[in-house]
Amino acid sequence: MDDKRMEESLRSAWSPQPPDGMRERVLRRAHEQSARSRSARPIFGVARWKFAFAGLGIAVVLLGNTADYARQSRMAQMMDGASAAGAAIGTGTLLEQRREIERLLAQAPPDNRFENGSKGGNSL
Amino acid sequence: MTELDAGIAISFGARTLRDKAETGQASLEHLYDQYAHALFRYALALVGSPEDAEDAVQEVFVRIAGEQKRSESIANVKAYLFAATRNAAYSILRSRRRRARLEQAMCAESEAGHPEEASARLSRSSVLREVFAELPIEQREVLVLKIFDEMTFKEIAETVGASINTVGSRYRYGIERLRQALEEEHDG
Repeated sequence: MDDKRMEESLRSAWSPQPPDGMRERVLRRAHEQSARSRSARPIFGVARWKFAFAGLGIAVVLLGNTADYARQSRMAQMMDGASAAGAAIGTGTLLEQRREIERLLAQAPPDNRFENGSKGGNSL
Repeated sequence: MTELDAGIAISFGARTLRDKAETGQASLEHLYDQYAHALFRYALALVGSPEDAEDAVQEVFVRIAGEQKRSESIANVKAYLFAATRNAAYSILRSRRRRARLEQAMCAESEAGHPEEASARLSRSSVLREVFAELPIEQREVLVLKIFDEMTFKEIAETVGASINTVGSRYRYGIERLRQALEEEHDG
């Protein structure tokens, strides 16, 4: 028996058919998978979860920057107020102190401790 | 038209499908109708059970549906489908090897219990089927692809990942074994 006849014999002896309902089962699963993959389709070739992760990172950085800016603004405001108030207080006090010192110096008796040989100084 | 006929358009790199050759696109349904029977037969020759063969074919179509982007780079749809079916079938064989061994052992036991009845049942076709089922898996798949799907040795070699000479040898050994079995049956 030559090869061709052997092939024919095998063809007629074995002709399996797909089970009933296989088409529906296979295609239904394939369609389900297709729907799943469409919902998770990559954006510019990058998986969606990576985009979400990157977006979350950007949001965290932006929030941090905003909070930092707000804090710095508030500190600057406080510093401006403090320096203005400090300056006002400082000049007023200095003037008053100077006047007070001059007044006290004018009223004070002359200092003659060094002329009389004070024992409080360095005796080197 | 059922809901399944609504169609998913699958694009392929090479326009090898007959039904929509102009656009290089085919719906999953067209693809199924064109190839599923052959893929099922091929898978059945590899795994031996219709349920497992259906699982293998299903896995192939599910993969195509899930990776539509990747399917655009497929140059030869037929070769891809057969190779994917082969992979799925081997994967099933690996995962179900223990179960298959158990089933084979049970079958052998039941036939050994009734040798006269078993030999009386053997007609020419059933001899062929049984000997074919007993062939090594490498020879079975070559015979199926050559005889039923009329692939050339070169196409088979690409599908199974072996050299053309190896494929030719497997075909030769398989055919010889079948011929031998038929002659023994005839003489007996």
